[in-house]
Amino acid sequence: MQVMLLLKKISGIAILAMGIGTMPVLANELSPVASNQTQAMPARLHANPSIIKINVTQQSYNARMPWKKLPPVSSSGVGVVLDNKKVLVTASLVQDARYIEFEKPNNGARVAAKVMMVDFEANLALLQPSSSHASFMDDLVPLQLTPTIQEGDGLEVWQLGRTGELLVSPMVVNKVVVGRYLLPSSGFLTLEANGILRAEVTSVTLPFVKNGQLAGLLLRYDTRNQSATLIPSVVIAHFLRDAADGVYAGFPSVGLLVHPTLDPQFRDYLGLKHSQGGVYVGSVMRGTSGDSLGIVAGDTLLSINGRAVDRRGEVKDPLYGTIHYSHLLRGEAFVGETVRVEVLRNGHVVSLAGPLVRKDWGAHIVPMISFDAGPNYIIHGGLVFQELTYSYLQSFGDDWSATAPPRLVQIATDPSDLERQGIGRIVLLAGVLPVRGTQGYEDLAALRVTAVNGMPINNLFDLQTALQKASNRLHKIEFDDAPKVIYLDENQAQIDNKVLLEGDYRIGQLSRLH
Amino acid sequence: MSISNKQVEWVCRLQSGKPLDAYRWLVGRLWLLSLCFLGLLCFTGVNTQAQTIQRSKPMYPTAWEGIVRIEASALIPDYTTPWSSGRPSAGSGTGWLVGKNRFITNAHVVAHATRLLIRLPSDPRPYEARVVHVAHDSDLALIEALNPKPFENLTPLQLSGIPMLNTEVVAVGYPIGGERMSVTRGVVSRIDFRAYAHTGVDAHLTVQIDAAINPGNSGGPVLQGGKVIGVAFQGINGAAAQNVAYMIPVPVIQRFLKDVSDGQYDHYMDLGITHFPIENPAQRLALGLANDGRGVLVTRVHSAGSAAGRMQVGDVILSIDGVPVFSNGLIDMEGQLVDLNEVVERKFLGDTVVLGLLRQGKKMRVNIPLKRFLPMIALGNQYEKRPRYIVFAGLVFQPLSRDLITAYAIKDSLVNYLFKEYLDLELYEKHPEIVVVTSILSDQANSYLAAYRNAVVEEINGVKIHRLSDVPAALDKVAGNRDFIEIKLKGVSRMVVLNRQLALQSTPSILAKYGIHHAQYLGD
Repeated sequence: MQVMLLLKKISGIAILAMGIGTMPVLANELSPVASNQTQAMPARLHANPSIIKINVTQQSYNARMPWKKLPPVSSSGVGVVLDNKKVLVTASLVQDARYIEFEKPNNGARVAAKVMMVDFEANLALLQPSSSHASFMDDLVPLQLTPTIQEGDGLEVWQLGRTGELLVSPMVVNKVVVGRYLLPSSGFLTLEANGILRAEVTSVTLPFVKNGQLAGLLLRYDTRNQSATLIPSVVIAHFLRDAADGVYAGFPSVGLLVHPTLDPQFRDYLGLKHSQGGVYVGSVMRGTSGDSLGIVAGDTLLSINGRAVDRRGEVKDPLYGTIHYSHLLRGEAFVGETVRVEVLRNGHVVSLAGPLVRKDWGAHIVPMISFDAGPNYIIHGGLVFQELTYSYLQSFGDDWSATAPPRLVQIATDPSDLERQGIGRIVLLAGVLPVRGTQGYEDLAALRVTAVNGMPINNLFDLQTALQKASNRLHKIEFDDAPKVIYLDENQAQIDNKVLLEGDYRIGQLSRLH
Repeated sequence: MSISNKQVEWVCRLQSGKPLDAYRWLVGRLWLLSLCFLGLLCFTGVNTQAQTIQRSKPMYPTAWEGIVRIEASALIPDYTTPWSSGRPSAGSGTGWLVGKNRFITNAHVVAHATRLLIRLPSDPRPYEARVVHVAHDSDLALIEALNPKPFENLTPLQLSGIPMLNTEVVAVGYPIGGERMSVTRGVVSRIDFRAYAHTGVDAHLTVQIDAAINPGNSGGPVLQGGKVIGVAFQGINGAAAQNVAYMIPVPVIQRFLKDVSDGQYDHYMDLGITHFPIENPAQRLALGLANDGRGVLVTRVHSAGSAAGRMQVGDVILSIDGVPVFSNGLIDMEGQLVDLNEVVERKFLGDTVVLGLLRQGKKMRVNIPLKRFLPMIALGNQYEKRPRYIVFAGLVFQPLSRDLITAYAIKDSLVNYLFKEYLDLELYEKHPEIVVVTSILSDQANSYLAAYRNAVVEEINGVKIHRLSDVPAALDKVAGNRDFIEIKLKGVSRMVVLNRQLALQSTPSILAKYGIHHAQYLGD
């Protein structure tokens, strides 16, 4: 149940596009203000050598018709030039990008660019010009990261106008809090800043600056409350430090589902003393840092590296006041670092220590999101098989937890039973294309495939193998629910495959497996 | 056709039938003809001494004198305050004389009624009435006047049969738009097996007509040649379709009358299976079927259904009571192609149906004594039942039902999953009732528990909860830590705990504070 809330909306791009796109002010009404501002700050006009316009054309896949790509969409952002002439942007800007280019604000010169490093969890990416254009960066000056940010700090957001002029708006940091980024898996530190973003130049990545140093990148903007959520410099610094050696380890996974211990009745029940804080650990996800530290469900987490965790799960922080404990295991710490924690277990305080580890978001039974790669699928004789992923569930709409097939939602919400059974992935008969061989099956959709030709199916590779084993030219496909079993004629399937490849459907390829 | 348009049919299955594509779509758009027609009713007393009122010849056939207006005052249970008496409401429908002081109307006209009045077309006086039999599953009711005298000289309407397509029909009733009798005219458009919106889970034979039928027509007769061919009962919202109205045809009315002739209504019977068409050549080959357009595949045999233990998943149904079953699930009955369930529809409790099956290549016959399919009925809207509940330490426990989900507008995915899969995963075997903490009446005893609203109760003090009536004893039980009551909620990774003493102390004051006279109602 707790996971569900986090999963409501994942695509950072959609959020950003919505936030900025629905601003109630028309661009024309704003232009006099814009010219006033630029007059007031002539020194900055055409004169910032540390930012660059990034133009991106993105094209993602249709989650329900995985052989199809969606129409291409173009957007732009403002990248920040860092040391070694790398350009920092959010990962959502370059997700599923088909073409990226840099554009100089002062003269409009453009060159093709490419992604060097990307982390979709931290929603950060480093770009550089395609090899032949290295000199393009020569007149750009790196921006440094600000070492500290606090509530109350004044920031500037840098936007680029239509003719490349710099538009500067003030912002004030009003909150430092752990929040959601692009993926539902776990939280990162975010900054919330209040102020007005200029609507006439919409971009998905914008730099926020404190005293001439980079304080953060825009994650999303809420037009109604005029509140911007930022990826703070501390997370950016972590990303850069990790990426510096070329071997990117990523952020550790926490993997703990915890409950506050504010309720005095619950505290008495757990045997917590008045002086103790602590959060109750409801479950520990396999293969995460919580697991490697030896924390088990039923423990109460009391401290991390000697810093006490309070009843809400906050720890005291010299800079931010209080901050969610997960920041100590994720935003601040690196994979491989040893961490000491204290837990209350069966009434006794137990010390645990272990290394922080990362669990790839692809390693789950229901993988989070497949970035930059189309969904895996196999089409055979008109039957469309896919693996259950969050992208697939999200294709049922923003309220997919109510609109997607309840059994699939249930698997995504609580996969622990299947995990215990050693199931790798859930393979679905996602849909049926109407060809001669699928006569009578047209209405079948979203059924979990359990076996094909007698072989159990735990991923699409199993299915690929099993489809070679038709008996008497008939495939037997079994499901966990009605109609339980269907048959497919292999000879007809071969003919239908040809029709699907070359006929009206032009599906291009019968499978994608990676 | 694109995959993205496909919908999975998980919401509702027709009783023992194959899932119908349009079912969910349809139920959402069907409306019952009387429910929207609410008005304030005035009434001063009952005439015990009926006297003939002298009037000139009316403007309608004499036989129509038995077509009456029925006014109902009702208390609709409010599941969000299950301890309260419910919401007062008033509505009206139509009824017609079928026998001596016996009027047929729709079940939804008289549902939850606290008082019923009959008004004749030519008599200004209201006559108090009561329900004799009600069949919510087929949306029919039989009512009688407390005083039979005023109706003694009226001639009952006669029943006809199933009309031909494209023949003219007349609907008579008291719909919205005025006070007097209204007549509309149309033709028979279609005869089909369709959802009945009143319970939300039933489907029976239905006749579609294009006569204008509106709220208030409910229960009224549809006539052809002066005889009744159906009871007007539901329509489709104008935004989705035009001139689509439905009536309950004569076989369903006759079945109801025959069922209650022994003084009690025994409801519809059900095989408790689902089936799948066998149109695919490869599937026919694998199952050993010739290309003769016969046979449907059995895909579920519900353990609580009539067919449990007698049929198996994978059986092919070739015939029912000797009538061939076509590969699309239809049979030829009296010249009409109808759903194979129609055979079961016309049977009664204890009757037997004979199915011709192909099981693993072998032909066989099985006799199936018929009974009701209770878990499916439990999923439908409930009538004339007080909502059951338990309030303890401000936590309100209620059994999951369609009414409950509607009343609280529950969107929780676990609750919806359990409700929707109740039949197909046979959850009823272990959990005849799914108990939900529907609300938390704020008090210091439960101040931190608001987040657990709409959670499903799995265990209390180590006792598994299979039905609401398990809850009181489980709360009393002392297990583990005697100072605490432990409530294990499904899908919640911590125990919800109540200080036992505080919970017991707080309950009376919470009841008083929130105006609850009884801490629980567990049924009669």
